[in-house]
This record gives sequence, structure tokens and C-alpha cells, in this order.
Amino acid sequence: MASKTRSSTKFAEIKESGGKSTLVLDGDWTVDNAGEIENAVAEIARGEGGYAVRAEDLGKLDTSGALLLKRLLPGKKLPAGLKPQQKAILEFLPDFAEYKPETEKQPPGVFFRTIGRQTFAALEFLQGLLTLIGRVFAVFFRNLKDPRRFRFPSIVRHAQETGIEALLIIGLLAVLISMVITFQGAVQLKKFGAGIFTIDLTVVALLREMGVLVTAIMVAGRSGSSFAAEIGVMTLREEVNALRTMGMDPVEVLVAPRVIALLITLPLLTFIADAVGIIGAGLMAQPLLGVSLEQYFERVQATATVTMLFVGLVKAPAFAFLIAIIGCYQGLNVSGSAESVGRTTTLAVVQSIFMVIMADALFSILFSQLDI
Amino acid sequence: MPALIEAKNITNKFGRQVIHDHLSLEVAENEILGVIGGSGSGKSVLLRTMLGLHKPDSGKVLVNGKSLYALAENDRMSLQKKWGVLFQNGALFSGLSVIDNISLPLREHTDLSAEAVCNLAFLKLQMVGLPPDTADKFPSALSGGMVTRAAMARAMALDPGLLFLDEPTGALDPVSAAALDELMLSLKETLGLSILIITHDLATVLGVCDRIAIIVDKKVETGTVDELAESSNAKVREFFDSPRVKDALSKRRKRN
Repeated sequence: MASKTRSSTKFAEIKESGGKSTLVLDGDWTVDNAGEIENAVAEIARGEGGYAVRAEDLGKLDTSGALLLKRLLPGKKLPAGLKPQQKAILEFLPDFAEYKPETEKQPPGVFFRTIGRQTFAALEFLQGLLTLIGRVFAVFFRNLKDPRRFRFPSIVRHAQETGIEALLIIGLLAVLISMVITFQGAVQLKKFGAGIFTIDLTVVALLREMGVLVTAIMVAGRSGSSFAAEIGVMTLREEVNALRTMGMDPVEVLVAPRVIALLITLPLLTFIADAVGIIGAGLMAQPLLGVSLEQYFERVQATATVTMLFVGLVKAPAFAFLIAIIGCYQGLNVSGSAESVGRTTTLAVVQSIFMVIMADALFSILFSQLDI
Repeated sequence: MPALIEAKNITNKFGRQVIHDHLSLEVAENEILGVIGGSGSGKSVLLRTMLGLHKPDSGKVLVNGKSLYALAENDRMSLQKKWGVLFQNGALFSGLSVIDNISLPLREHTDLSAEAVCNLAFLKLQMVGLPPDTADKFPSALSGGMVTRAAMARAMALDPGLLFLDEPTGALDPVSAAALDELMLSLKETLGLSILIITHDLATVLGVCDRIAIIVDKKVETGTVDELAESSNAKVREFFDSPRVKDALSKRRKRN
């Protein structure tokens, strides 16, 4: 028989004999061979149509093979020589529409739109935050009439988690920071023969700024993130909605205890960071400046004032409030998927550290205006 | 008929609590096996054991005569690739749209072009009866029943020879559940699939399954519905004696 092969592949082949062209199917049309079959199909689809299809040699057929095969069947006519099961597969596949991905047309001025959208998002964030602050205060004053509703067990639990369990890491951090300040200060000040003022430097820096700032940043990373994640997952699993339908206010049950707990623990942690930091600096000062511990503490006594301690400590509740509110706000604003929890947790930490440092700057201006 | 997958003498314990005690189960070629049993009887643990996700305390899972847990990582993965699994809560990837969820195994394991992958995924989406506009939605925007169906489409993506379904009809309305039953039957008939299905749905148990495996007292008893209804084990009979099952059974007998 005089036959000419127009295109040759393993799976589909067009054979011409006597002016008639026949498409012969061959091999297993399954998902494992799908790539090769697709190429063969594309090649044949490029050529002319008008062939009859024969499928005597067709091996296994599955849905992916059937889908590719359908592209070669003109006018939905089933090929000759199909086994009954293969016929059933081809008939079983629904007449489907091709997938067209949704292409969002980018309107002009994307740049300005983005700026506008982000501005509104920022305003919305600020509004949401202020609303939450307002509701926390409302809950606080409402609860004063009925103190049981402060949920003391919950407050104690959060105080334990945010305070006692953070003691070790914050103490360690305070020691290290004060040691570094002492070391750097001593190296520089010794050049002027003023080595002893290193102690003044460390004590002032630690009590006024570093103690509270380092503690707040650590707590933001530790507790702010866990507030956001805990409440976020609860929001996602509709536990928050469950609370609402039981007539309980999520702000009262979830937010207020966390805010109160952090308001208690952050000042205490700060005080401990201050104390431990002074001891750490003493350990460093002894060999570096050649002073005895008694001399060191005498110098500390002469430098440190009560005002100085309170300038640091008074900032702690403000920072605590910011961290707790932002963490809880982000947690309550989780929507959609697990991914969203990760994103809002990151946001909570970044925003609360940023806000803490902003607030610290404002406090500095305030104190310098007040001459403290 | 040769068994596609066989669990042999499986024992599973959590602490001192024994879940399975020398339990054996096999799925034959081209059959739909329904696994039933009360809550907490260890249906899902059995499924995880057979999938290679939970190593049993003793016993073997045999696939093509090879012990699943004794295989090298790579061999095991190439076996698992040939299975489709529908988890109880869908387990759709929340960061991917529905079409991308279904495409993922196709992209990973075939050398099809991106366009063909999407078309094939879109076909599966329509096979499970999801409307076309769900393709670009994210799992968080779907209802429970839609999640189940999208997960079913993903399980079917690679045309597996063996499907594991963990309570697929639980979140479905009766109409969609019936459509899913229909789909399982046509998959079995046209593609020669085997399906292991964990279910509480009486219609599925009675209408779709070739054989039933009921987990009672840490063991499993298998047979057709009629065989199990005559079982010597009182607890198995108890299941089939409940009014709802009796009602459905008598309806079935009338139909036949």
C-alpha cells in the first residue's frame, strides 16, 4: 500500500492512502505521557483537517488524554475502533468551556490610585485603632461598677505569659545592653580622662531611655505578636463571632484583659530591667574603670534621681497600651485565610515598635519642654 | 481481584488507648469500599495509616506487594503520586485560587503546557459540578460544600487509580451529595478507579459502595451490606438494625 506519512509521532499519526487521510491513534493516552501527546496534538491541529480517526491501537485512555483527544475530533464524531470503556470516557466528559483567566484591566493612573488607596487604608487603620481604644475605655468604666467582669483569671494568665515568662530574656537583654553602653562609654571617655563619668552615662541612659525602650521592643515582639496571632486565629475560626452571638463583648473578653495585663507587667519588667542593668554595668565598670563595687554604687547613688527613674517608668504604661491595642486590633481584623494571620502578626509587631519609638520621641520633647 | 492497597494486622495506640487491634483491610481493583464506624472509632487514623502519614505501632501497609513504610522516601512519593486524597476539611491551599489548587499537582508532575494544565484543571472543576466562576476565587470565599468539591477536583487532578475520600458528602446538600455519588460511580465505571470512602451518609453506603468495612471493637468487618446485616457480631448487626438503616435497606430491596 502506498502510504505517505505527513507527521510522525508515537501517539498520533496521519497516514494518507488513496487520497484519503487517516489519523491513527497509538499508545497510552494518559497523564504520564500528557506532555508528548500535547505536542503531537498541536502538530496535527496545525495541519489540514478532513481526516478520519481510527483508534484500534489506542491503549489506555484517561481524562487528560481524552481532553487532548477531543481537540482532534472534528464535529464531535467519535473515532472508529474505540473500546466501549474509552467511548464511555469521551462521552462522560462534559462539554466544557475553555478556561479564560480573569484579566483585570489596569486603569490609567495606577500610581495615583495606589497612593489614594493606601492613604485611605491608613486613615481606616487610625479610625479602627481609635474606635478600639474608645471601646476599651468604655468597657473599663462599665466594668468598674461590676468588677467581676474584669475577668481576673484571664488577666492573671496574660500577666504570667507576658510578664513572668519574659523575665529571663528581658533581664539578660538589660544586662547586655548596659554592659555595651558601659564599654563603649569607657573607651571614649577615658581619652579625656573622664572615665568615671561612664557610670553617669550608663545610669542616665538606662533609666531614662534604654531600660524602658528595650523592654517595650522585646514585649512588642513577644506579646504583641502572640496577641495578634491568638485573636487572629480565633477570628478566623469564628470563635469571636461565637462570643458575640452568646452576648459577650469580644473587647471585654479578649482585648481588655490583655491590655490590663500588659499595663501591669510592662512597668514591672521595666523596673527589673533598670535594676538588673545597673548591676550589669557595675560588673563591667569594675575591671574597665578600676572601681570597686562600693565606689560604683556610690557614684550611681550620686547620679540617679527619683525623677530619672520615673521619667523612664512613666512611659511604660503608655507603651504597654500601644502594644496591646495594636496587637489586638490586628488580630480582630484578620479575614480570609491562614496567610492573613501571618501578615497581620507581622504588621502588629512592626506597627507597635514604630509607635513605641514615635511615642518615645514625643515623650522626649514633652520632658525637655517641662525641664525634667 | 488483586488488592491495590492492603492494610495487614495494623495496631495503632495513642498512649494507653488502643485504636486498632490487629486490623486488616484491603481495597481491590475497581471497587468502591465504604468505611463506616461510630465517631472516634479510628476511621481517620486508619486512613492516615494507609496513606503513609501515620506509621502504625505494628503491622504493614502493602502497596503492589511492597511495604509502604519500609520504602525509601522517593519510592514512597512516587506511589503516593498515583493516589488522590480528599481530606475532611478540604485542605485546599489558602494562598492559591481554586484553579491553581487543582493545577498544582499537574504542574508538578506532568510536562503539559501552562494552557493545557489550566484547561485540564478547569475540566475537573466542571466534572465535580462547580460553576465556572469559582475558578478564580480563593478557598476562603467558598462555602463548605464548594470547598469539598474543589478538593475532590484536586484529588482527581492526576487521574489517580485510587481515591481516598474522607467524609466527602458531609458538608453537601442532598442534591450535590447525589451528584457526587453519581460522579464516583461514573469514575469507577469509565476510568476503572478504586475508591476508599469514609462516610456517614447512608445513601452513599447503600447506593454506591460495593463493599462495606465497619470498624467495631478496634477490628474491622468487611462484606456487602446484606452480608453485614446478617453478621454474627452483635455490634455490627446493631448498626444495621437502627431504624434509619432498616428503612433505607427495605427501600433498596424493593428497588432491586
